Amino acid sequence: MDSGTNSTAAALAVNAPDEAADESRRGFVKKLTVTTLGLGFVAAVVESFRFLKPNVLYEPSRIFKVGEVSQFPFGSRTVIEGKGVEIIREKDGIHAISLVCTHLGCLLNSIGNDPEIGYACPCHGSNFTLKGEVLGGPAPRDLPWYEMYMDNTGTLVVDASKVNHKRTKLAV
Amino acid sequence: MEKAVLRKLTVLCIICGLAGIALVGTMVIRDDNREWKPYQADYKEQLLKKISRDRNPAFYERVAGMQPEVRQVVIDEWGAVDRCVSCHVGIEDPLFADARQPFTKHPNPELLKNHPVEKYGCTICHGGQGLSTTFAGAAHKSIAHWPVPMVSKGLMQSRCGVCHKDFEAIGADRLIKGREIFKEMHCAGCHQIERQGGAVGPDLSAFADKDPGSFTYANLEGGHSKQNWVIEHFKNPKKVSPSSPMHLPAMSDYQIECLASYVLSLSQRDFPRQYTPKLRAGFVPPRVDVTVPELELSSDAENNQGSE
Repeated sequence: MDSGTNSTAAALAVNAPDEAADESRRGFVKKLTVTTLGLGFVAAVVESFRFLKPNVLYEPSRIFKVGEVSQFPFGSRTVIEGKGVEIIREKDGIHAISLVCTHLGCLLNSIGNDPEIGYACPCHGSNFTLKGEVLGGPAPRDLPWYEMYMDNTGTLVVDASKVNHKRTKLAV
Repeated sequence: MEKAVLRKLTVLCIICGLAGIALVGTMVIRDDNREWKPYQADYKEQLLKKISRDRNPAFYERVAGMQPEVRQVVIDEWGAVDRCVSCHVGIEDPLFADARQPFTKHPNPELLKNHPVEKYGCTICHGGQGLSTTFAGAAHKSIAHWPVPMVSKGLMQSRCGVCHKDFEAIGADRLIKGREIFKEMHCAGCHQIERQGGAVGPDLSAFADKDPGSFTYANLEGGHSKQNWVIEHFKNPKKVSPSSPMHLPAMSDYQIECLASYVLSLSQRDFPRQYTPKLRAGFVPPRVDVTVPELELSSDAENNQGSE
C-alpha cells in the first residue's frame, strides 16, 4: 500500500524543482517501507507458527518417578498403576516397557504362566513376547521400551517421552 | 490529492510500520525473557557441580542436556496445575538442602515423603496460584480475593486440617490448641460446626471453602484475603464487622493464630479415596459445643463439681 502511495506521489511531483533530491528521498522511503513491511510480515508468520507449539500442556508429565531400586527385586515385573508401563528387573539390568497395545491402545495384560507370551491384549488378542516383539494378532509394531535413568537420590525415573530404540537395560 | 497530504500519509505509514516492528520485537524479547529461565540455568550449573559423571553417567548426561522449560505437576483429581517447580527445582533434592531460595529443598522431608510433590503438587498445602510462573503472580505476595493465597507460617496447619480431621494423629498442635480455644470460649454457642452449636452466627462447617468475595474488607488493614480477614477479625471483631454482635476477649498472637488455623481448616471438600487419610477405627471428632455449667449460677455448686 505504501509503495502505491509513493508512486502516485512520484507521478504528481514531476514538476517539482528539486527533482533529484526528491528522487533519492523517495528511494529511501520506498526501501524503508519495504523493509518494514517485510520484517513485520516475517515476524508475524514466525510468531503465528510459534503459537502452534505451546510451551507446556495441561497434562501429567511423561517423565515420572517409579520408586527406588530396592522396590524391584531381581526377576520381578511391576506394573506402574496409571502410567501404562511395566518395570522389569533382571540380572543384567532393569528396563521399562510400554503396556499400551500398538494396535488400538488397549492396556495389555502381563502373562506370567506362559514362557512364550509376555503380554496379551484383551481387546483384539494381540500377543507380545516378554521383550515386546509382536507374536500375533493385529498389532502392527513391537512394544516400545522407554528411556530410564536413576537420579541422584537413587530413585528410578522413566521418561516415556523418549523411546529406547536400542533396547538397552539400565545396569543398577 | 495534495502533495502535502500524501507526504503526511507516507510519514504516518512509516511511523506505524516502525512502531509495529518495535512492538513485535518487544514481544519476542519479553516472551523469551522469563523469570524462571535464569533459575533453571543456575540450577543446572549447581547440580552439575554436585554430581559426578563417573558415578551416574546417564543422569549426568541428562542434566547436561537439560533445556529450560515450564515444569509442572498436574493433579487431575482436583484439577491443580502447579508450576511452582519451574523455579523451586531442587525442592525434593537432598543435594540442595542448604541452597538458597528458590533452589532449597523442602524444610520438612518427612512431610514431603508422605506427600510426594508428584502426587500432591504444592498449592493443596501451601495455597497460592499454581499456574503462575512469576514471583508476584504466584501469590508469594497476598493477592486480593484469591481463594487460598499463600499460607503464612503461622497458619500452615490450617491446610493440614482440610484433609486430616484427626488432629492428634498428625500432631497438629496449633489445630488442637485452636479447637480447645474454640471450645473454651464457647464459640459454639453461636456458631455451628457440623451441626454442633447454636445458630446465632454464621455456620462455620465449611468456612475454609467459603468464597473470599463474600467477606467485607472495607474496615480491614492489610491484604484482602480471607486469612487476613480472620486474623484481624479475631483481633477486633467490632472493627472489622461493625454490625456483628460478636465479641472476643483479648488473645495473644499465638492464640489468634491457633484459633484462625482451626477455623480455616473447617472444610467439607471431598477428596478421592487415595487422597483421603485413613482414620483410626471409631474416630469421632471431639465435640466443640460442650456446655460447662457455670458454678456461681447453679444452686448446688458443690454437687456439680463433684459429678464433673
